[in-house]
Amino acid sequence: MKNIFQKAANYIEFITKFKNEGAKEVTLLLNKNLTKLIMLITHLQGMFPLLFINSLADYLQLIKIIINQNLDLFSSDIVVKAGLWALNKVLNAYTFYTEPAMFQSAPQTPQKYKNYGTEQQLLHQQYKANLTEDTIEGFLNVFILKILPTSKEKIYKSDTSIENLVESGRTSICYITSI
Amino acid sequence: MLESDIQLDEGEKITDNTLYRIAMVTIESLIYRFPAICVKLIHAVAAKAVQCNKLWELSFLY
Repeated sequence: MKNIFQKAANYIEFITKFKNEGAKEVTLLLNKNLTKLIMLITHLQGMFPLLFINSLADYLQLIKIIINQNLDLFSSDIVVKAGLWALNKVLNAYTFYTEPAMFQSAPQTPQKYKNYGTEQQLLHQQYKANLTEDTIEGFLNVFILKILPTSKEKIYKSDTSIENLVESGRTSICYITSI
Repeated sequence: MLESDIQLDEGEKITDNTLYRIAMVTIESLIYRFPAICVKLIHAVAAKAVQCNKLWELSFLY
C-alpha cells in the first residue's frame, strides 16, 4: 500500500513540475493516471475497509491534498471528483473507523469483522487524527470558495432562476442535484 | 448513490456528473458524520458564501 501512495505522491509532484513548465499534454496524461490510481485505491478501501491499517493516515493526507489543491493544481476536474469520491467512501465506511465500542456494538458491523478489534482501533486512531475540526473546516472553505463556484454554469443551465428556487422552498439537496 | 453515479468510462473519464453534485453529496456526508463540527461551522460557511455574493451557494443551507 505504501508503494501505491508513493506513486500517487510522485504523480502530484510531476503534475506540479510540468504545470509550472507549461507542458499541458503531459500534465493531462498525469492527471488521468492519478485519477485512475485514486479510483483504484477508493475501490480497495470500499471493498476492504480494514485493509488500510498502516496507511489510512496516508490516504486521508492524499485526499486532503487533492481537495485543498483542487483546480489550482489539476488541469482537469476528474482528479478532484475522484478525490471527493474517495472522501465519500471513507465517510461512508464510518462504521469501521468509529469508536471501538461503537464498532463492536453497531448492527451494521459484519460479524466476521468483530474479531479485528485491534486493527479497527488503529484505524480509528488514524481517522480521528486526520479528520479533525480544522480539516473539516478547510474542506468546507474549499467547497464554498473554490469547488462549488466552478460548477455554477452547469447547475443553472435550465431556466430555473435562483429566486424561484428560494421562493419555492425547493432548495433541498435532492432537488438541486436533480436539475 | 455515488458508486452508481460516478463510473469510469473506458477507464478514463468520470461521466455524467458535475463537480457540484459530488461536492454537495460530500458536504451532506460531512454534516451527517460530523454534525457537531458542521453545525458550529455552518454559520462561517454561510458567511463565506455571502462574502462571495453568490446566493445559489447558500441554497443547500436552507
